[in-house]
Amino acid sequence: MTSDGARHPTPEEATDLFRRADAVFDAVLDLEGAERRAYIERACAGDDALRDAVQRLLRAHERAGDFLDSPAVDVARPLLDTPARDARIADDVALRERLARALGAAYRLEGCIGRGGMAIVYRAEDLRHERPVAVKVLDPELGASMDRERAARFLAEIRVTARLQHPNVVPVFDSGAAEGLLYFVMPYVEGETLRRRLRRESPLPVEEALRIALGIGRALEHAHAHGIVHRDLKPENVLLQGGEPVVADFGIALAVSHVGDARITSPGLTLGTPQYMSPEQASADGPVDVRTDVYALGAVLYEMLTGDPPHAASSAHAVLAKRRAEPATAVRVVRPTVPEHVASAVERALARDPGARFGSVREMLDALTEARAIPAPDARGARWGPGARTAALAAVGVLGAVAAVVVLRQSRAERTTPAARPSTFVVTPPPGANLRAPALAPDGTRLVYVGTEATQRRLLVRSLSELAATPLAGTEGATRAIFSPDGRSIAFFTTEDKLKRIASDGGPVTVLAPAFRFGTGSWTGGDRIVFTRPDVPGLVWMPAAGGTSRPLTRVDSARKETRHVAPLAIDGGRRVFFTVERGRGGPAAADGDLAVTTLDPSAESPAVHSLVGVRVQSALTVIKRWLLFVAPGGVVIRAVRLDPTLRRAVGEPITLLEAQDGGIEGPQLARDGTLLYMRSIPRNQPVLVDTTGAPRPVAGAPTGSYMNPRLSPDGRRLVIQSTQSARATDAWIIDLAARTSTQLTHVGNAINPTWTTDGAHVVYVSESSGRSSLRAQRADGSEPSRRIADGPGVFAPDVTTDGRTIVFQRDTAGVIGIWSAPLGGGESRPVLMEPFNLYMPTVSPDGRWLAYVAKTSGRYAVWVRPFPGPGTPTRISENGTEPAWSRDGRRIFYRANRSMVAATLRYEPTIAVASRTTLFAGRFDDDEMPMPHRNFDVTADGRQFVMIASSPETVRETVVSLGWLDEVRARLARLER
Amino acid sequence: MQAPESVTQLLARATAGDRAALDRAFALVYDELHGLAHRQLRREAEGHTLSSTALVHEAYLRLVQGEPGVWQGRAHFLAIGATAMRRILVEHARRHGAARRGGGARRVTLDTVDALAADERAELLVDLDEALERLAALDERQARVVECRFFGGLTEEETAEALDISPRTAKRDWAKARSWLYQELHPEAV
Repeated sequence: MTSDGARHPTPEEATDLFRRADAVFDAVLDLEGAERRAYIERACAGDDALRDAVQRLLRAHERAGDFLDSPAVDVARPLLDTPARDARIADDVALRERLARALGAAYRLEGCIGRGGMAIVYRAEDLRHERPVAVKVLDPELGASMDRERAARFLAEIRVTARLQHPNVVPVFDSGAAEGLLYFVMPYVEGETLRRRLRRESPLPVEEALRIALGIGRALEHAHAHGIVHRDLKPENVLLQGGEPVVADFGIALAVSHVGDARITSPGLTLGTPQYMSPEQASADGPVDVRTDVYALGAVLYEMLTGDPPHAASSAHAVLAKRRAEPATAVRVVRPTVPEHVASAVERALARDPGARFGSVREMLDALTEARAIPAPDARGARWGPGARTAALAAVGVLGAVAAVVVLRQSRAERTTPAARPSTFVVTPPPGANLRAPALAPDGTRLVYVGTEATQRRLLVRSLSELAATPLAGTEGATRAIFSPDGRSIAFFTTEDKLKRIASDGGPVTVLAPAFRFGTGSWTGGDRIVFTRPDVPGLVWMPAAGGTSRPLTRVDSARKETRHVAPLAIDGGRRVFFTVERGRGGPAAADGDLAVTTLDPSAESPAVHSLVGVRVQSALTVIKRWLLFVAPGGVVIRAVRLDPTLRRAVGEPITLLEAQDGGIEGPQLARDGTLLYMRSIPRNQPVLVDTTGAPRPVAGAPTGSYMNPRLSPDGRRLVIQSTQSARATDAWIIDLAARTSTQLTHVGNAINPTWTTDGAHVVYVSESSGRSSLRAQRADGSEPSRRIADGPGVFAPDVTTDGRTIVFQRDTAGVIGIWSAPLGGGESRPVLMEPFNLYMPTVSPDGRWLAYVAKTSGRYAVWVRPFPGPGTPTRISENGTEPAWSRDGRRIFYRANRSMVAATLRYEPTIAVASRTTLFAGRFDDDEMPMPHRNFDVTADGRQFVMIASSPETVRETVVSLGWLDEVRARLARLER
Repeated sequence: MQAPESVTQLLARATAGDRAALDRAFALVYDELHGLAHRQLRREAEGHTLSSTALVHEAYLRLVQGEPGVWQGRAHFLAIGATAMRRILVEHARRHGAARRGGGARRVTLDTVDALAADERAELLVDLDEALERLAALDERQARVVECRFFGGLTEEETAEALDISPRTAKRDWAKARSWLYQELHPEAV
């Protein structure tokens, strides 16, 4: 390193030089200025090598700064603080390969991005949905101890948490067990963990600490309403996206506990994290319930407010010992400026005795917000983070290759007749078809799209008058294409973060510039391309023929702008509209403020941009002075008038097109007025199953995602919870004979619909931010709905046969019990409370018995007891869920081990199961994990069942609307007048 | 069966010049520290400081549990502890580097900041270890001082005690060794 001379010194020479330099250095360390210089001159006279060595040491002495100031153990901590330490670190390579095999072709594994207590996190690309994800794989040591049953329990537990959908909850996309590994997939969330935030700044300003605590609290509340306790809340599990907390790893601790019961109790693998672990969790001598999370939230808030967790100590056992011995130092002793009510709320949350803590997170949040103006939590919390938005918006649709051609050809033929109204077609892909990100040529005659085989993707181009698509050689890795205005060339983004160009009929490929792999771009009239680069937050442009890319816009950080995306060039490329993102954006289309700038090719520096004054997802086109855009959320295309400078929006936007379901993704407009877009619909369907288990679809159910089917008392109608747009869930009524469906509720959060005995009303649960209310709505939709009861965790209503009472499950102090309310109005009251959770109450046809599910020692079982009670409970099943009575009250149907079981009852001398028959088995939704609702129904004769048949794939459809723009033009012209 | 030798006995013999006893003492200390470091680091939440001095002291207490007059061997123990810490930490750094290089993990901006930082830290430790070897060849005592202060986390006084040198020498050696290592590791900066 130091030898740059003509020859290496011998070891003896080196040692000699070191000794002499060391001596001089030693001597001059105490000297200064002229004295030092003089000494060196004297000592090194005639010896340049010595002088040089001394000077180097002196310069090093001056410049070393804090070199080696931190002890090695601190330097090494990030290397040591991993679950796969020592020899196992070397196993990382093998683990990575195993995981890649386990994930298969659906994901491309990228780098390791983190390690937690018992898991390793990798970044990966979800190839099917073109989104970055985080794959968390359990410490293989845990996986090694798993057998099939334990893996199934782990996955089942994960599946429960996968149902959580809340702005403050990091959702779970996928999970699996393969290659001896257990993993689950989450959105890749950009942003820092609360732990890192605290490392940068600690303690936090009181306002911010409270805001974060409230966000975490809302996440916990939501999960608790679904019967899920986090169990391992800590700053490492809280991600901050634009300051808003998003909580990860819900229920993972519990899922992990299913993997290896024996190991969990071993000292190295204690679940939870000592500083945030409630005493009952640490000592394992009390039930773990919502109050465990209350404690952890208290501990996290304590740390945010004081800078240290409540019982800081250098080892886990010391923490626990300390906590046993003494309460945490009072918040206001550490930081007197913390408001009294906040400090006392924190202290109450940290009470050693769970009974002394808040009974629910809501109570704690109420105490925290008491008498204090906090920035409106709901307004801030309601924004979905990019990760969550990615979950809601499937990235790209798939257009059925053959079907699309046929439909488009037909429709083009139709267009020869002058149709006043646009014709709209929905093309559902045939199985196996794989087509993404279609771009329509400006003349509407050709389509270029990304076709994927296995993991290899490339562009294919197809003339609409031909069936066959031509692959474009050299376009491997393409993610999205844009046509040149003349349609002769295509620019495309690739997975290697490049923008390339190719003639639309094939030929050599030119690399134009680095570009964001899921970039957005616009090919302008002046033959320039405006696009996004991964390394530049603003837009850049370059000549389409090639050359340097130059900045077009600069993000205004004073306005908290983070990225400029989705450019739309008009006016021959002089004017560029684009979307301004604030906060962290993901690769998916993101909401932002619309801005406009001008492209001056001769300009030296980035142009200034002005905000148009409208929130958009992306600009679509400009027609005269109307700007068409996809509105935030991606379900509506709107138009807004611009002022004569085209810089400001004037007046309110009008809605042009509202997607009925599945959203509007990647809309494309051709010059001939054709609109094409993709939509993605998560899908399953209600089916009728007889005792042979053969399913047949319920006719009349539109494409969607269904749950909770309930047959009307006369058996002619089905009311069902349906998610049509991945955003809104409502009750629909399907007329089984007429094969039609009608949307009954329009609240967007209506779940668990069920009939009243007379079939005239539907009772449903409307759930928002952890609080649910029970409402009744006339089945013909003729009157506004009426509230019957509300409370935390109200779910699974069931109307008694006399039609007077509703029983339902409800959360009380963190434990789910069974309550009832008079249907006609009045107070709700508890029917049955146990120290463990009770679910899915249903009253026998004679009104004398209550069947329900109880969860004890981790198992769900069906029980019956006298109604309204009191009385002795009788167990109906060893394990099983979702009880339903037969009309004659002689049988209870329930599901266990993926089978439908009928338990025949006898009532004399006491109620008991006379026999059990398995009716059928099969893969139907929720056959593995009980949800707080019954996800099937049985006909009056007890011979047929309405089940929900799963379909793992999201359905991606292409919507083609011919002449759409013509109609829009006509409509806008009318508005102009 | 022969009772296992106690660390105190070993240290006493080591102090008297028994090289084999020193090796065995080192092995004991090393194992104990290794286990301690792992147990602690494994379960600690990040951000909680855990000093190597505390580790060394704790290892010492555990090894000499219940033996009378244990503090006589303390100085020696500290030095051995520091050497053991150096070996433990550098081993980790080397494995980390190997895993990273072998893993073919892509270096991505932003999201791997921690990993990159870890890489740099691993690199620093490995480079430092190698430079320290070179320093030891030139000046054994300076290298031992670095071992005590940087790897063992000992104070000036503890270092002096462990190496049986005066605090002033410990201070000067530290300053000189630090400068030498700096110019060795950052030749471009001087």
